[in-house]
Amino acid sequence: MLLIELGNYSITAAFVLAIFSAAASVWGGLRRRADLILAGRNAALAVFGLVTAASAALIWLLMARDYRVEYVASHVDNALNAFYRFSAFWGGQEGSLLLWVLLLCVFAAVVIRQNRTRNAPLMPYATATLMVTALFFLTILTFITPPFKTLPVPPPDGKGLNPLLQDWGMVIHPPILYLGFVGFAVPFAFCIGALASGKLDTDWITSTRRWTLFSWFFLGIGILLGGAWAYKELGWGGYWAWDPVENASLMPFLTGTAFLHSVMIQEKRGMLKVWNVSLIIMTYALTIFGTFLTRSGIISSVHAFADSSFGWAFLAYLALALVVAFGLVIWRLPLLRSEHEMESFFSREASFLLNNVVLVGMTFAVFWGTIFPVVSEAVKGIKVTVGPPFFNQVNVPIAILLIFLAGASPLLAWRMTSARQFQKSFVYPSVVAVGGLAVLLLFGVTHLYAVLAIALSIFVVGAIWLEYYRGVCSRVRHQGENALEALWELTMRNKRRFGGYIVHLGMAVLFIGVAASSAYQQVGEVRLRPGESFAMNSLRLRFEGLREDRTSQYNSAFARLAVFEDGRKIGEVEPEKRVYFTPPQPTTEAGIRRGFKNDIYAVFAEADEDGATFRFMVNPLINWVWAGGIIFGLGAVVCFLPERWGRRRSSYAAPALAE
Amino acid sequence: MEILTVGVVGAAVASSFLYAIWPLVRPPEGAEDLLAGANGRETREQEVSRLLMERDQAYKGIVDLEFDRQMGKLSDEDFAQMMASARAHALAVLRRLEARGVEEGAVPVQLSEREAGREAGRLAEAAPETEEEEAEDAAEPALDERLEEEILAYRAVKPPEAAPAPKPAPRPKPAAASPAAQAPGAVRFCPSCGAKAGEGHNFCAACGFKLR
Repeated sequence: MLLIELGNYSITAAFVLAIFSAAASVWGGLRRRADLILAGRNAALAVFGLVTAASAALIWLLMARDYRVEYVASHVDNALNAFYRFSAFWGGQEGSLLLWVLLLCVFAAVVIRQNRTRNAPLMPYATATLMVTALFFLTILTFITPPFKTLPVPPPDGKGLNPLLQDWGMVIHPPILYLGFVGFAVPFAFCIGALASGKLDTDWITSTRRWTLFSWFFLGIGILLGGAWAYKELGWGGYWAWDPVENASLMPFLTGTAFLHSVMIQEKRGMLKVWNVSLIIMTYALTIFGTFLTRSGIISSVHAFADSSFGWAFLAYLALALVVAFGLVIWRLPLLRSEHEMESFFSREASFLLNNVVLVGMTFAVFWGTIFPVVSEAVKGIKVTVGPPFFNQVNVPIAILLIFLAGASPLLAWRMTSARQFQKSFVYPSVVAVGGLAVLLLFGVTHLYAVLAIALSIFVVGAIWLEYYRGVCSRVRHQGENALEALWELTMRNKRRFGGYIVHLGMAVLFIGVAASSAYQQVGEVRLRPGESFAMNSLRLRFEGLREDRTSQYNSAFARLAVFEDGRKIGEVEPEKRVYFTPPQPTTEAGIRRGFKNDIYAVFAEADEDGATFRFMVNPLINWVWAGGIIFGLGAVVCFLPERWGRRRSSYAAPALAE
Repeated sequence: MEILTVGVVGAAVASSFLYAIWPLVRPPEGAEDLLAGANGRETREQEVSRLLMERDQAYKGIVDLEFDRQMGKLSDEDFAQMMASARAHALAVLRRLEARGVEEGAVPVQLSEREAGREAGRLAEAAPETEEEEAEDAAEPALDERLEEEILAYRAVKPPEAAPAPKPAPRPKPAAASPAAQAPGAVRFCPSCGAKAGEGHNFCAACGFKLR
């Protein structure tokens, strides 16, 4: 009983203290009263402590299988191992909302600690913003879906965790995605702080640059992990379906990407201030909207793991946040004037701006497609769902333009690029891309979008190669280092720029994978008896037989298939069908033979008396998607590293250059 | 509810509330410092720390510009213009640092935020309460020297002991048009604007013209 009561009262107390913290901070900031600001700060830290206590209590109850608590009874059962019992913390509605608040409070505590003496003018408002966000979720946890609700009669066994969620990828995917979602609250809070205090120089941006990167990194990795999980677990042979909840995570990633680029223009040239504050407000709003989509059940989705009926609360909060934030922007418009004018279309700034327009355009297209069912229902009374064809039709051309920009932008100079420089920079990457195009056509790749996407990705690789090459040459010439040293120093001394290039490289590799695997996927569905084969081009799959197995949680049937290429056996795949006991639910585990060139993907659909039905897919270059994701992650890490990390230390005391 | 439950839960909640309102009951010492920045009046320490960070930012900007130029990302005119304004900004920061008693070589370049704070604290202890007026008369040439020196330090590649054989500093070929560059130690003048150029300067401090 102790833990249940502790959890309950902690959440209620946190709710009250969050109100106090927000109020005291704002009041203290306005009236310039240090005691109030400090009280607001302490209250925020106290909220952090209380929420941590509540989370620990819930985790403990889950681990101990305390079925008196409704949440525990509906998300774990006696057979579930400790790993999944722990992950049940975010396996359901209340728990995942608690995780949201927990992460937010951890971030708030870190921010407060980092800024004890810094950013004094805007900190009270930033704290208040974070606390208002926490307050919103605490309101839901206190009044609408309390996680520590008890059952009058505890059942002997729980209902268990959704079997689809019983996969390591699914265990880490939600918290990683949440790190990204919640993290964007920090730059948003600083933005609000800057707007409220009127201190609108670049301080709020530089202070939160790494927070933005952090959130953006985890959001990106979270999306990729989700894709990898869908590919392995859902058995439709793809990794992205334009599902509303996938879209919900993609949208803040797109606007976050736009923000990361456009803040550079503000830092370098003092331009686009209104745009930057708007972008971060949009990103924050989209993270809340994303949580709403996952939690409200308003749009049906494969992610409907947690349905509820408090969507109105999200919409109300969203509206409030947008009105307040944009109200502040309008109030501060006179302070947000640009310091420079755009001077040339052939400049880094202009290409960044174009990239922003493209990213926001894409966000809008995704947003429209996602909410269309709701809009159509409201207007016409019928729910019209727009499927992947709509999203692909709109987004593929936009994405192709985006790939081009990822290559072109790094080649352009700030302010303006002269015709000669332009020529000098663009010739090599273009030649390489045209060469790649010729090779593709030679090999009979004629799908328009795929050809364009791949050729432009090659252009990106060429452009980044050129940048590295020039940088290394310049260091070799001017600093007398060898090429390897030069490469390392180049990257470490310009982490932001060259880390960014690595990210672009990852995106190029990823896009090659996406283009090839979506344009040239082969699908076949067939019923086979043991010993029979099915052929797809040079590949042949032979059904060898069935095998059954039983674990403490499920029964499973495996179908063994031998894979032949040009008549030579190259391996086996073993798709599996599971039937879980609690809750009784079948799942499919695809049999995948992964390869550099393609994946052979087999799904065991059903077995009958003397055979089985299968769905086979050949997914070309699909592993390039994951490889691109890993490169993307590496690049993001390079950007994130502290400025001086990895460089040779220099100090002013020593006479540095042999002058 | 058991007595233990009441005790633990009560203690947790009560201590949280107490912690939150404690600053109102007894404002800690130095709490007003928190407002110094908010009121637009920083403490001297905060200001020096901020200026040090600003200085490093300015150096980074200058080094980045040179790098962009080396990479062929900037035309000559653009470079000269952007360099001139970057240097002017860096000089302004240095002038303000000197006015606050931070002399050349007193503080290493390339500080992390924490180090900047620590250095500022150290300086404040070393010279407490010497409220100087904004001194605008810091000698310009001396300041130029300092800027060049510190940028060199910022850019410094290898600490002396790390370099086994001190090879002659590789450097772009001297421009044939500037005879002054051939005579080390000789007084040089900028061919573009005529300002006196310091020894070892790569760019004119006044107009940003490339000297070698």
